[in-house]
Amino acid sequence: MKLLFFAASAQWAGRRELELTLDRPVTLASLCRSHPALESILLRREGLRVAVNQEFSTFDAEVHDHDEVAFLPPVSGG
Amino acid sequence: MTRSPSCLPSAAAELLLTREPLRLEEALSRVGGPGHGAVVSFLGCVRDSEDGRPIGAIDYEAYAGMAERQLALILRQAREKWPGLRAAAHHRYGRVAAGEPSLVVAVSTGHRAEAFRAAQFIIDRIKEDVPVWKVGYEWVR
Repeated sequence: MKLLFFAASAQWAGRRELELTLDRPVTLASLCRSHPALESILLRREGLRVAVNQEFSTFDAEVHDHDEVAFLPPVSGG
Repeated sequence: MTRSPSCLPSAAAELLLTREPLRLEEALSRVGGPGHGAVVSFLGCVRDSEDGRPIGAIDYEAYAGMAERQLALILRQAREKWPGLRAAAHHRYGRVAAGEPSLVVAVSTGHRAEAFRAAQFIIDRIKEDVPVWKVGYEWVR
C-alpha cells in the first residue's frame, strides 16, 4: 500500500511517501501503531484528517494492501 | 470572435487544478446563458504580507487527484442546492506571486440572491475540504 504525507505531516513522518505491504486488512489506527514512522502521526491525530483512495475517511477505517492512504493536516488553500 | 463572457458555456474546464496562472475569463466562459440574469465571480488573491511581514509569493502544495475530486463534489453539491446553477472553480498550486489569484470561482443563476449564496457556498466548502496547503512564503527583505 501507498501512504502519502502532505504539508506538515511530511515533517512529522520525516518523509512524503511510504510503501508498505499488508498481509491482511487492518484499521488505520493499528497500522499507525505498528510502524515507527507512523507513530509521530498518531501523536498529532487531533485535527489531522485522513483519506483512503482520495476520499475522507477515519483512523477506524479498515485499509487494504491496494489502498492509497493520505494524511491531511488542516487545509489552507483558497 | 470576441463575445461577452456569459453568452453560452464554452469548452473551458468546469474545475481545474493547475500550476499555471488562472484566468478569470476562462472561468466566466463556463457560466451564464439564456435565463441566467446573474453572474458572480470571485478571485482569491495572494496578499503581499503575512503576519505583518512582506512576502513576494506563497508556495501551495496540493493532493492533486483528491483536490479535483473534491472540487467536483462541491460543484455537484452546489448544483443540487441551486438547480440550474452553472459554476466553475479553478485552483492554482505551486508558487503563486503576491497579487495573483490562487482561486477563481464563477457562478450564474437566474437572479442575484442565489448567485451570491452559491458562490459563497462553493468558496467556503473549498476552504474546508479541498486538500491544498500553503506550505511556504517567499519573504521580501
